[in-house]
Amino acid sequence: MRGYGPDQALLKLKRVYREHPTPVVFFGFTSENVNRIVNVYRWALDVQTYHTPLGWDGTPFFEGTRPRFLLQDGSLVLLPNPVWTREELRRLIHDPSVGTVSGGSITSPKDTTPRTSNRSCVSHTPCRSFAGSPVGRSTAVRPRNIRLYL
Amino acid sequence: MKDDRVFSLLIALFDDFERFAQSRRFRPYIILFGQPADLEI
Repeated sequence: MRGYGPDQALLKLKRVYREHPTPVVFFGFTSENVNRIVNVYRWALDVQTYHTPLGWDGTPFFEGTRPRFLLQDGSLVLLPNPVWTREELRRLIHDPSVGTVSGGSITSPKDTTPRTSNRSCVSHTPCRSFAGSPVGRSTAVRPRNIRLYL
Repeated sequence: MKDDRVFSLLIALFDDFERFAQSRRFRPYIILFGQPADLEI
C-alpha cells in the first residue's frame, strides 16, 4: 500500500491480533518510514521531487491520506484520517493551493502560513482541530472542523 | 535523528508496541531495515 506507515501497522496489529494471535511479532520498518509517522498527505513528503500530485498522464499519483499520531504530554493521540470521501480527496488533489512550493515553503489550504520546506513534510505542530482525540480509538469519529495537516 | 520530536514519537510508538505485547503476552521484536546512521542514532 502506497504511503503506509509503521504507525498504521501498529494500528492494524491491534485490530487483527485477536483473530490471529501469535507468540512472536516482528515490527519491521525502514529508516525512510520514519518520515511517514509524521505525514498525513503522502505527496507532501515528495513535493520537492514531484511538483504535482498528478502523474504524467494527469491521473492522481499520490492519492492517499492517512491517520497519524501526535505525542502530547507523553501520550499518543490518534489523529483520524482528514479525508474520508473520494470527493474530498479529489478536491485535495486538484486544489492548487495545496503544496504550493514557493521559496522553499509549502502551504496548505487551511493554514496558509508557509512552513520550511523540509520540515513541512514531516511537521508535527499540534493541530488544534484534532486536539483531544482519544488515544487508540478504534473507530475514529471525524472531527467537524477538518484541518489538513501537512 | 536530527529532530528529537520525531524520535520521541517513534520511541512512543515502540513503547506502545511493547505494552501491547505485554498485555497480549507475545514477544515483540523491532527490526530496522537500513543503517542506524540514517536515523543518526
